[in-house]
Amino acid sequence: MNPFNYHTPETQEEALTLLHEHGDSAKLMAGGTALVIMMKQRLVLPETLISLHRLRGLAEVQEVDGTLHLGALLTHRAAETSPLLRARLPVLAETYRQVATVRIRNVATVGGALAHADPNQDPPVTLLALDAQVQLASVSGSRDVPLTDFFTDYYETVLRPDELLTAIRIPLPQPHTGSAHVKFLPRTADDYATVGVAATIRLDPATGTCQDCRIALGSVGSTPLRALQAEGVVRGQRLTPELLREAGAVAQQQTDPISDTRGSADYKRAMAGVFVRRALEQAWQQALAATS
Amino acid sequence: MTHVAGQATYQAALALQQQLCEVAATVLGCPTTAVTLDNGACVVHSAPTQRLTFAEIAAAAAGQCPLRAQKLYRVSQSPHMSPFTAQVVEVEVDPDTGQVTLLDVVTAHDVGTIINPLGHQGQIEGGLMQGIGYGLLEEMRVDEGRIGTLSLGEYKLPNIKDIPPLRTVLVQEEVGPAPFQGKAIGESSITPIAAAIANAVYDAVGVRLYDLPITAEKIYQGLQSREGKTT
Amino acid sequence: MTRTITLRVNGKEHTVEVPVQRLLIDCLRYDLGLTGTKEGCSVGVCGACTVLMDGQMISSCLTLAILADGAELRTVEGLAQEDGTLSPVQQAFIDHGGFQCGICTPGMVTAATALLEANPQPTEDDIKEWMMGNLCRCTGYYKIIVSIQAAAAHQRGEAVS
Repeated sequence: MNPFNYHTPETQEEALTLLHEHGDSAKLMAGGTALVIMMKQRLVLPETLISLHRLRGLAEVQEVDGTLHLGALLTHRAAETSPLLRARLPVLAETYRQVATVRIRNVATVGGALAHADPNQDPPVTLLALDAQVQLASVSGSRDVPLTDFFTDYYETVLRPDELLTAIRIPLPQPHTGSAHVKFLPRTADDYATVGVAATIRLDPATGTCQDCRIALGSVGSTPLRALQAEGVVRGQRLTPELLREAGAVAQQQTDPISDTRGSADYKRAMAGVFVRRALEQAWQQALAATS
Repeated sequence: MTHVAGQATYQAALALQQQLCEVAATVLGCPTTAVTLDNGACVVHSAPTQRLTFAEIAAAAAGQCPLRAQKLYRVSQSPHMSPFTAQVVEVEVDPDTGQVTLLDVVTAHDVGTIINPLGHQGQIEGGLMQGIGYGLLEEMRVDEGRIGTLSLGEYKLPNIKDIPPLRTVLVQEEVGPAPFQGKAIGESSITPIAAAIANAVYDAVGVRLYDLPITAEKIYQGLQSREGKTT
Repeated sequence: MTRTITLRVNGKEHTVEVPVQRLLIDCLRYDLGLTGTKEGCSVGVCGACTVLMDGQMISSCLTLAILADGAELRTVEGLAQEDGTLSPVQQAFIDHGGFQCGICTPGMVTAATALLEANPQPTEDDIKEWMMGNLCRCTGYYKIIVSIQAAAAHQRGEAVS
């Protein structure tokens, strides 16, 4: 690893000032699990490293006006065990629990993971299905970006060099909504997903039709993605197993996976169809339970 | 290891035991046959207070002859006695994805005298999981001479969540070529397990695989071909 | 570029000057001579490098030493008592065949120690979930589970079968 200038800001303002000063030549370190590997492999050679571990107040879980706020420096482990998150968004808490191992989750942060933007990750898939937004801050102010607009390519986001991701905001589900996240692991329990799918379905309690739905996929493209056309197949319809199968087939068309040690592109595409159907089925069952 | 290194060690130890008793007998003034080993010493069998520790014997022999034994053991010397293993695996295959779940594994071994039961069972269990690793998970990818699986992040080994329910059956007879009628165990459980899994997969869904690892994708392709579809 | 850092390791304070890019595992092994912690895979997967930092298990191969400035660390060397008496976890691993070649063992016993501190009555599923980041090639894991259960029972004062 190359040497670097090292800073440990104690406040968000300090961190933002440092980022503004160093811009492109600086890297932020939160948990560091992804960054340190890349530095060891010389894929990333920052002149300046800004460690965020002294910042306080950016690791909270709060409910504000029907929205759940997750501070960017919340660890995965704190998220998965948060009583508030488990009570209000159990599908998200459970998704955080699926990531890697306890040892990694003890230090990896929810914000750092999003900024890393590996399309094989689990939380972005569920967050997309939950209509999450991220808050990005800089010395010039802050902006909110829907997560659907956040990822641009492998390991690339709309984050400017002087911006810090400070929070994730998730609207709490409306009544009669069911949600599910499925992580397909054909090899071993500790792996990135071959395919990851999250789905939400909101039912009209009077008619039983699907009022709205979201379908998100991971590991099948250069970014995690929403299967908008597949959502259109389901939205406004009476749900049947055939309809869900059709949604899966449509979602498959939107995927552009690469072949790797977790499966060939063809296999991942086929599995996208299978697991979109399964996630929708689970979300539907949950919505029915929430409705009865 | 148990057999070959064990026999070489055992025979060398017997030879050294003989030397120790001879020196002790000379010092104690009795026939060699009257001397036996007892807890780090040589004693006169009929009069155990007449006792010399190994250190004392070594001191007595110093300057005269070194207390040393060296034995060469060839497997061809021993009657041919292979240890046998039989394994049964129960699997479940997800027909939509090809994913294999190991529901139950039984490993049966023909064993001789077991010298270290904890170590013996440990070898069985460790070998089994190594076999499951190479049967289901492990694949070294090489692309135009370049290795593609560069770390344990890509070359996956089984972890503690991947272990199947396991029962061990020991068919024991005190017969074996290793010391004290023991038999080797280290290589036994690793050898048949991948084949057992492949056979179970064939029994479950009629897909016959001949190359490892047995992956969900390969089974899925096999299922697709059976149904006349190819991707 | 170097920094002077202070680490409290196994109850003892150390002040060392390290290059900024020094990893915690290298600082422990080379600067402090604590070679119990092993580097197995370098990418945080195998768990051989597991140490406890401020009570939590971390991968020391993915942690910069300078990040541990001011932290309270425990390594495998700190598990036994001053007089050499092994901890219940260590003794259980010996009694129940929880190790063979020993390369994964420092990480295993450190992780198991953290588990029993967080959850003194783990179920088998709890053990598997917690320990899935510690890889072993020799044992097949069955006796590691038994060892951890035995250590847990011992710590609760129960008889061990």
